Amino acid sequence: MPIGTNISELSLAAASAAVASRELSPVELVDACLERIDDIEALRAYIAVYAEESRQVARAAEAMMKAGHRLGPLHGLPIALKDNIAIEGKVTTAGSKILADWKPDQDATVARKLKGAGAIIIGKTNQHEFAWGGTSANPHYGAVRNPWNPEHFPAGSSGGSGVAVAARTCYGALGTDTGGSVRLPAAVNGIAGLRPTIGRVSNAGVIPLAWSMDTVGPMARTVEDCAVMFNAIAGHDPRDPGSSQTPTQDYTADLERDVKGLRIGVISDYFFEHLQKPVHDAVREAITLLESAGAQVIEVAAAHIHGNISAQLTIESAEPSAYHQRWLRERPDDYGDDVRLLLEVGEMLLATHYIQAQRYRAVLRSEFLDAFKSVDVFICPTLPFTATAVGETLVEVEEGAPEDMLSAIMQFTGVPSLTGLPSLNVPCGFDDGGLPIGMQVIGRPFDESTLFRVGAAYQRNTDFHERTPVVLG
Amino acid sequence: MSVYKKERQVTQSVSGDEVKTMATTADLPLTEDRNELVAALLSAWLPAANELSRMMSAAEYADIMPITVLVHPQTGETRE
Repeated sequence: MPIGTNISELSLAAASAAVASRELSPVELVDACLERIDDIEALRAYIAVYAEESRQVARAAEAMMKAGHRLGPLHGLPIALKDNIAIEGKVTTAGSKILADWKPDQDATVARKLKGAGAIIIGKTNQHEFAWGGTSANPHYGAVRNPWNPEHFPAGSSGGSGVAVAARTCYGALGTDTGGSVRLPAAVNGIAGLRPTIGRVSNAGVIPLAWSMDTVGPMARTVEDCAVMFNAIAGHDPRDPGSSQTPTQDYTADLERDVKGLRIGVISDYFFEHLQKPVHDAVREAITLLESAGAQVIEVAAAHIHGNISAQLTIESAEPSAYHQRWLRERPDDYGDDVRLLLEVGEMLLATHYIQAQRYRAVLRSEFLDAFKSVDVFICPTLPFTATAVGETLVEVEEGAPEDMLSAIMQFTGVPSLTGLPSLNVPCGFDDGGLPIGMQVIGRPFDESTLFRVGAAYQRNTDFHERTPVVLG
Repeated sequence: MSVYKKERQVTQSVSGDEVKTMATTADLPLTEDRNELVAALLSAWLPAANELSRMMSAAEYADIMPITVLVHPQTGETRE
């Protein structure tokens, strides 16, 4: 069902249907998106825009339609990629000065799959430098700004992808998520975003942050749109040694199912402590709504959840510092201040810190797999606060008590990151300032379908995903 | 007090000179100003990292192996 009547206001699914029925042509979609990209240039969502190439591909897609060939639901739809995802022959910077001129010699697997499914790659999105941070305040390509209030940040590290989707410049985007980098910008920009099960989507051709936690995930206006994109990118890839051979499924198959009998796990003494009240209340109300729709809410204890922030910081520091070891010695001044410091600190942690953090992951994962014997999903906030001002390095989760942004922003996203479980951000409200709030739906390994089912059921009963950002109002 | 705060309420002071020594060990050339910056952030992170190490050193976790590559069970194995 169309979200709105303007071309760029259509959801991915609605635009796909319009292309399939030939009510709209890919050329019209691309032109509408390019116009919107121009409109919101000040938000710094994109590092590169492939305007003329997109028009050429759109004309080819239109010709295929006229000849009776449609590659699938993404045929002729403009999609954006985070700039740490390689495209053959296109500069792929990862938001860095160090890779400012790097042109990969082959597509990342996810880029190849999207192209093969008929998507038109309209551009590459801005991000936190090398994905190592949660603000997308990029020192080389400009700080990305939130379309709901440009004075506020879009979170990160996939901040450009979040803004590109929320500001209606494309019908979907890919981000990457290590400690929360798909879910966080999805939450603060008011869109859906999936961190898949580790191994479900190929990382081949994606510039790594932390190998043992990195994933690629879809970001789109609605849960349904995310599921459509996920169908195109999920699956085994021999190029990625961490890729799973577990069979894929049609991830849109359960979108229309209700939540009657579904068991929702809630860990109140962690996920509903130390967060801003509007976030607390919005997520609690969302759980109540699902309960009224027939779901069962079960309180769960998770004794080992304490320690997850430190484990994330340790792993997410040590692994990037290994990847960047040569550049940090040869080109330290080419990093932004924050990323350089994080990489230097990552070299100071002990091997035992790292190994104990990796052992902790095994304990935490076991605890959650056990819990999934009595619940089907967990629901919790995606982050404990709404978007802060651009450039802030401290955040007041509790009034009068500023704390470090990096630690605070990964407070709730760490469990899926460490355990490898899939997690979907779903918009669930706004604060008094009109800034979006998101909730996470966390599921069993490879059970993304249930996350989409819960998210779609919620979106059938709410309109948060249909609201338009301020800059477009 | 929240669990979150408990996880990082303590600081463990690391000096710039100590960072300089560690950086030398890592063959990472750092200027004096970098030593101080690194020391400040490291001081904030180390208490929780050491607390996690203490926890994982307990006898009850002696058989736990680190996860470096995740190999998931089949979906059915996590259901009742």
